[in-house]
Amino acid sequence: MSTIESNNRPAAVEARGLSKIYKTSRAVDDISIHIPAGVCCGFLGKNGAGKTTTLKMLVGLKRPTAGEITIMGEPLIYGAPTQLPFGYLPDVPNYYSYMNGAEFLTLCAKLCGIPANMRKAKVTQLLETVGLSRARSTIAGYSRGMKQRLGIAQALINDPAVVFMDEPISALDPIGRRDVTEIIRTLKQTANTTVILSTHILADVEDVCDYVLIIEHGKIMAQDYLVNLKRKHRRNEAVIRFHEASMAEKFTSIANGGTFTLEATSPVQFTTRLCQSAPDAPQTDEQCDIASAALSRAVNAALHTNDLSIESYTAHSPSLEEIFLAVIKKPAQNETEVRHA
Amino acid sequence: MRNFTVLLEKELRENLRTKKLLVLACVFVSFAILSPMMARFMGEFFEFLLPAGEAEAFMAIFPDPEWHDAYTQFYSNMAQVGAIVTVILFMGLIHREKSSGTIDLLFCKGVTPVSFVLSKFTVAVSVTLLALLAAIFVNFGYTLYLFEEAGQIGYVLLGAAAYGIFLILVIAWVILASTIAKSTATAAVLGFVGYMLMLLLSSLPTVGRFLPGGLAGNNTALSMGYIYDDFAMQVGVAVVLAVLCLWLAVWRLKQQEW
Repeated sequence: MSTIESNNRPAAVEARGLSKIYKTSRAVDDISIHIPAGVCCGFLGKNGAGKTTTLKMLVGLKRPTAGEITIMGEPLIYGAPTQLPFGYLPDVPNYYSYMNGAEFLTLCAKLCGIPANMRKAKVTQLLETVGLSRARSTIAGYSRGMKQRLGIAQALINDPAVVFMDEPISALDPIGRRDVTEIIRTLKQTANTTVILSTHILADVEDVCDYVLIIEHGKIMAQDYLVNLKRKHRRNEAVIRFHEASMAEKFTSIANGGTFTLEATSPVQFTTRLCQSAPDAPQTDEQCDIASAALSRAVNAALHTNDLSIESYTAHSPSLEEIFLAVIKKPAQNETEVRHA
Repeated sequence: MRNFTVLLEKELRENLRTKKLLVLACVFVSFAILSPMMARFMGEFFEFLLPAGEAEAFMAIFPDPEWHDAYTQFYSNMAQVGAIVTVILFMGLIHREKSSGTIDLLFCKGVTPVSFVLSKFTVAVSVTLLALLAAIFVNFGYTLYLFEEAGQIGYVLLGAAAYGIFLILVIAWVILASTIAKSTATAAVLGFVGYMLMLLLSSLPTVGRFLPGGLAGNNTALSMGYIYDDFAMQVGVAVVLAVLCLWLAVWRLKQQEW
């Protein structure tokens, strides 16, 4: 059973009442965000949901129509000269093509005020981290993946406490994608950096993120630890796999229509759920746990009574895709899934 | 003015690597070589091209070339092509950074619009004035060689300084155009229109003589030592307009979002 994660860790990024209203549309509509320090947060949403606008407000590149932002407890004021401890990787990073990677990182290091005696070592270390230490050409000769890696390096130049990455993996080939997710994973594990990763590739978020923020039509629909969202969205069902089809048939004949229902997915495999539970209805954690235990007990009793053995029993765990689809279908407002422990 | 010196270094490197300084120096210095040559040998040139009778008639109209004709020719070439090359080279200064998104990375690292605009302006002006200075010395030397006279260097430099101030105003205007424009083409059109207006407005009766267009039209007179009455006023107006352009560029940049 997975642990319930608590949101009472100090916030790395906090926004209250954040809105961005254009002449004809509300790109971001009165949202509140609380991203705990040290998490890797997947910022999910369909194209045009408001991800990039929100990120750009959070890094001070867009003026919020309303709302307040704090990064590591420090207020971010649009237009004010700032040197807050964050890094930013835009969705399509562009650089000065006449420079090489080391020169560009040195420029960034100077802008961030890194002392001259530390610059070279810092640049060398970052180029090594992102796998560009052997790239000698100017940036004009870089591939898309190399540019993305250089973008990550420049975002990390000031050892930021928070890194915002806008679609860092969407346009990469599988190898580039693997490399970038690996860098993010390392960052999270070794530097304890808070990473906010905007994307619509759910598999990558499930792979590297432990916190999720879902936006739809400019409204936050869910924000919580992934493990909590999975608990909340799990259906009260399990998959039972038998060694032999004959055992499965016997189990069907004695068990179906009793305490639980069975739905065959192959001759030896069933999806099973308790008859009394409504499988897709939202449930509290407590109800979920009780129902899950009841299902497990009922199945166990049926197996034991009839002297049947099984190959596996797997309780349902929703994929992020299932959670995402369920969340964006429901109306916003009070249903925002913010867990305040 | 946060990060101003870092940005200056970056701009200087950009101008050297993208060969803007080289292009400007080549254009300006070619005019510096061609202009005295054209002034000195125009007569011989037509004599060679035209039939004998026509050539004599033609030569009778024009007086013998003098050293100051080399400067007239030089500033005429500069007005027609030199300033236009300057507009073309610098029209994308701000817009290119906005459209490519490099400005995002700079502004996220604490760069302010003031230091951003001023660093671009400072380096563009330095590069242009350096190319102009090189051209003026070449022009002076070659004129001296061809005519055995080239005026007093102090006055020649004064004529060049007047043109330099005019170019500073052109660059400030181009930076404003590049900040306002939503495309490089618009920036180019705005840049050229502004440049043409500066020249045309100086022909207006009464006010025209105070306007900075005169700084690009009286350079030969200045090179010969004739300092006209409205020179100081023209310099003053050019400086005020350049500062206004830069202030507007910074203000506009602060209004924009990325």
